[in-house]
Amino acid sequence: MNKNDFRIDVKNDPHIARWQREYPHLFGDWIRFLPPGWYDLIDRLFVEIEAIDPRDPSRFCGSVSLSIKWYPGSAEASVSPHSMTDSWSPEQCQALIQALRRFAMDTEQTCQVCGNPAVGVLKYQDHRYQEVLCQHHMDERRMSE
Amino acid sequence: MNQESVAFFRSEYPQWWHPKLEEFPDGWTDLLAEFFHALDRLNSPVSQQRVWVSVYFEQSEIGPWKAYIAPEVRMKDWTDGDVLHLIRTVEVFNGGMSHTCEICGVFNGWPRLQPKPERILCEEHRHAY
Repeated sequence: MNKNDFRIDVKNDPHIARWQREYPHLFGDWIRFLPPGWYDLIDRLFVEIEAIDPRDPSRFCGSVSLSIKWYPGSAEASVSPHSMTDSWSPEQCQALIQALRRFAMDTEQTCQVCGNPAVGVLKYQDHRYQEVLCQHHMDERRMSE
Repeated sequence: MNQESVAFFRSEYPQWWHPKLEEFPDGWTDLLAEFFHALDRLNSPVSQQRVWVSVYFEQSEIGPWKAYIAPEVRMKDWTDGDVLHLIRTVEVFNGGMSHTCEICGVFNGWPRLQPKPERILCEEHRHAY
């Protein structure tokens, strides 16, 4: 699988339309490179980050910027804290770090195609990147090989 | 970044070095050294040395740089002191870049919006290319 294969119809995807509306400060172009099976995990991450320090609706920026990178078999969420975090409590910092870590671990265990629990990683013998898949999509991929 | 600084960061902090940093302004190399040093302090001197975070640098199309971090060690390993230190460290570094002259490193720079890319410059270097 090529990285670009995840590209989706940004204008018409319902998740993306909602994220652009509700989380413009967290949303980024990186979404184009993430598989749709992980969209619920991304949604939960947005909710968790927003709960730590809700954005002032009159401002575009929130307390942190977010970037998510896709790797074969997982994804990693990174944050860039802004000046508003200088008054954060240890509990807020802990909530952020735990949310990022949990997201990364959950991508390793969630089917990147449909979002169901994954049963393993399918490694291809050719140039395609490995995939985290549920039983159904693992079987489907193997049948088509 | 000059070659001496490149060699320093590549040897001292290979875990966070990225070729993109070769484009990092000379005036910010002290900030970068302080940033990496502070991240390294997540390690206790008496336990096995680990890479606690991955670091990723982004430069926007219009100019400003930002540092991003992602936790790399287990959730239970992060104490309240660790997470507070981490978030403060990145926030201070990001804030430092927005107030430090890219050329000389003086902490009284402010944004020059035109011409693009935007730059953070002090009065003396305001008209530098």
